[in-house]
Amino acid sequence: GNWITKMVFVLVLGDIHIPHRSHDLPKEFKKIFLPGKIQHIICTGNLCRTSLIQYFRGICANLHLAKGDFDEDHPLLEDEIVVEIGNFKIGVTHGHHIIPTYDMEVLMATQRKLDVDILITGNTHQLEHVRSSKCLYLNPGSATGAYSATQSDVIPSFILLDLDADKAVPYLYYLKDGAMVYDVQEPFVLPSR
Amino acid sequence: MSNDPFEIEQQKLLNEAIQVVNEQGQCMKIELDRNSLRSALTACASMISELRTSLLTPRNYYALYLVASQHLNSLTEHIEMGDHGLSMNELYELVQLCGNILPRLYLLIAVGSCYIKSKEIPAKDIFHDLVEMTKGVQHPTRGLFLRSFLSDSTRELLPDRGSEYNRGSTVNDSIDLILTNFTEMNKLWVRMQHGKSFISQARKEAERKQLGSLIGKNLQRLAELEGLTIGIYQSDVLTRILKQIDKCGDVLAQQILMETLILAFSDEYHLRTLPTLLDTVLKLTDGVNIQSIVGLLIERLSAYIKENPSKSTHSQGVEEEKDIFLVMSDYVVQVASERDYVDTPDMLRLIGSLLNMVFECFPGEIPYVDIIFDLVYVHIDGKTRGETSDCDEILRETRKLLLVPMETFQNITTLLDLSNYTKVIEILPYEERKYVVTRLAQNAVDNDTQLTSVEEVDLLLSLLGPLVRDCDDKTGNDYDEDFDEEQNLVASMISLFYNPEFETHINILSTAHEHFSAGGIKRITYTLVPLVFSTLQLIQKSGTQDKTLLRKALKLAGTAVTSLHSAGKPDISFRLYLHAALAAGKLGLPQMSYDFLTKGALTIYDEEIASPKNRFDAMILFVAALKELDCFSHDSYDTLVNQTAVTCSRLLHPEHQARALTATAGLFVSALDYGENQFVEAKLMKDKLSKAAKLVNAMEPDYQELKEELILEMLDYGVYLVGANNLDPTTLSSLITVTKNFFEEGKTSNTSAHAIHLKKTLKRINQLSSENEAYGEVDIYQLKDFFS
Repeated sequence: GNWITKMVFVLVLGDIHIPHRSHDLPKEFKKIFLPGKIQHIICTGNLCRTSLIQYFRGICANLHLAKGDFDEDHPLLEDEIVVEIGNFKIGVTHGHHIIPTYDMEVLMATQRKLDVDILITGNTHQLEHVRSSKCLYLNPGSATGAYSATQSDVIPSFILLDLDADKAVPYLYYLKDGAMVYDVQEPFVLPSR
Repeated sequence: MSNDPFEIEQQKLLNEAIQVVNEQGQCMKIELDRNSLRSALTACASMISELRTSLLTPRNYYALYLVASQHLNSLTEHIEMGDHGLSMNELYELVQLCGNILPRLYLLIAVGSCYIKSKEIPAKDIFHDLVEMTKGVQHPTRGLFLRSFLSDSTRELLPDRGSEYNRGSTVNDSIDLILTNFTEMNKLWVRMQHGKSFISQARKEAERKQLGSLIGKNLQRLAELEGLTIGIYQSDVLTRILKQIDKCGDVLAQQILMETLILAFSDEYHLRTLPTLLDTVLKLTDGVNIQSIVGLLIERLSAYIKENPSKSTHSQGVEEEKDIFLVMSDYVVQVASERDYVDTPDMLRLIGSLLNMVFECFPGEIPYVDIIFDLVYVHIDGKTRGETSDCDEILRETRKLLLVPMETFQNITTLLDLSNYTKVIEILPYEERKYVVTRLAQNAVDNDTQLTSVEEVDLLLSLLGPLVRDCDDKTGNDYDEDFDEEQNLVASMISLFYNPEFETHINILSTAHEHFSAGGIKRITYTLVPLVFSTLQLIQKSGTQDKTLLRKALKLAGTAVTSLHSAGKPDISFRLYLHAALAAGKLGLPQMSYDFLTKGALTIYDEEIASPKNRFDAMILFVAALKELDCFSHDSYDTLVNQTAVTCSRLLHPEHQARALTATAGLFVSALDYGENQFVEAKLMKDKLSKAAKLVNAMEPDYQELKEELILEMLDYGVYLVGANNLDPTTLSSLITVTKNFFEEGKTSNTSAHAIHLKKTLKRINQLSSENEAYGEVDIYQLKDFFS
């Protein structure tokens, strides 16, 4: 592929569930979702309110929006997305068709099918970050800390992915005691193909 | 420039007069420079003669007067310099020789002020003289300006505490001068409106109004006197002022002078003389806008009390100390009842200043706010729906009043406690009511205000009627562009309903459900969905063990889903039933969970989910939900899983059938790893997979790509099942064989995307075999040739 050396920030979030299960994104998060700082937005699904798309557009032009089980049909929402950002091939799907969504073996199968370097899924409302030699598996959790039938301790979270040439650095953000904190992870190096 | 001939004539007269004034003024100056005082005085007298005119309107006369008085000021400056050789007394006598009264008096005043400045004789003597003399001019316009000149000329010369003109005079002399002048000026001002005139009555009034400050100035002068103590004010000065105001009976004068009085004198004085003031105002002539006067007074008192919190009460005679607010609110009621005509918008503005007083001076007294809204209610009842011509204005003012407490408290629960506040909202016409309650809702959401009782929520949702349901008095179209915003706002409120007691919280949600389910089809998708999730969340977080209460809560959730279902929302109702089933399962209520799955979800599926894609999606979700449930007995689970498999096999499109069946395979679990409750039938697991494979196999060659995709999915899922559910590894080998056959039939290249996928899967199986011997038994080498 082409060697792009510019730093790219990708905001990864999902399972927002407005207005079904929450009424707004945390104000601490909105403070850093600013235009000019973020180049791509990846959403794992379950907006549910389509006016959020307008909100995302106000942050950046490149939107990659997967369709969740509570989303209504919309031209911009897709079941499975494969997109190249920088040198990375990124797969996105909500994950409610993957049974069970949290099983690594099943996720690895999805990675094989989509042939991606980074696989992003949602549905569990749990912030996840796992890597194998071939792929970085990410789940941004629920940006609003929305109710989940299977998970009783949901906290609001999202991921900021910093892509620089062949390195991807995930920043895992979440709300703790009312303040926004983040854990920065080791860079994931693009596997050779 | 108007084309009105009268105006043109006036301008002509004025310009001519000004010209003469300036010419004579110029002559006077020349004579003064030559030190010929007498000639100067003659010129001055001629100049002032222009002020003898009766032809100018008061406004134009004022313009002329201003030009003339400037020249007069030059004269006084010259005289003060003292080079003229005459004594003050001689000068004073000299000017009295002037023929006509008006010039004579202007000159006398000018010289008189110099005389006072010279301090040769007591100021009071001159004052006395001038006041007497000026009585000789009784023409309203001419007299008014003459006395204004007197007032301006003596301004700096008033005996007072600390003044240099106290020889033989006291501040009382100043008071007398000013009060007499005030009284005379007022009489003339009032008389201006009578008599024959060459201008219209309306114009006369307008011009009179502009002159109000000339009379009002006297009150300001009084207030500026250092020596005017509260004692003198209270015992003497106020009485005399009010007497004149009352006696003149003139609407304009009373209006302007009362307001000037309030603004001129200190608020401390007003507090001390409050009863007198209030009494006087009550008795003012009909037509005076006393609401605006009282409003002004209240504003001033509010500012004063805010600075001096200790002065917030008032007692009259032997009465107890009473908060000023109560004094004023009682007074406002009195005004409304004793005056013949009360203008409602003006009254509302007056009430607005009372409201402001509460927030500025008595912020803790919430009941006072309710008193105010009682007043509002009384005044707007019967006038809110176009019965009167000022309805729009009434509604505007009412809206302003309603918004103030919202902004101040930032907590709508305080407002919900005020029965008069809510009463006022309820009598508003539809659009207005909708606006106000939308603001209430937004305020609650913005402030995260919690609503913690059934009564509060019930009251609030009733008030929110225009948002929550179709009201009887509805006007206009509810379902416009704002509808989505509005309903989202209502939905957001559900998260504000909270009570630490589980049962109370359930009752609150139940009350909300009653209100929302009456909202009609378009609304309930927005409102009942969040309600269901709120209920499920409550159950999840409550930690309560009371099964009765938990059942009650789940039933509520179920009822809400049923309402949604009845309104025609099958897809979301289906999904919500699954969530309810999961919640019930986690609580150890298998019967409820089973009913939600079968009587709820599957019934909707059978009866209402029609499109093939939607049916497929629904089945996948159903399987996913079953996978999370472990509360069922052996028999129940058996029934559910088999029923699911049958339903999946009946999906319309073969690819849906294949995928769904593959998913159901995961529901069959080996007894070795799970407890007795779960179903034990590894054979059936294999059964589903092979059935799925057969379906794919049966698809036509045209669908080669799809076939490959499907079989690879199944293969991948089989890899998972071997490890997780103890799937027999030979099943996996068979699937690989099927895959190999597809590739051969389709002549698929070993470098195609699907081939690469397959290779990776085989590699994965190989990898896993080192961790789990079961994988070792899978024949991955059957494709050795294909990949070489």
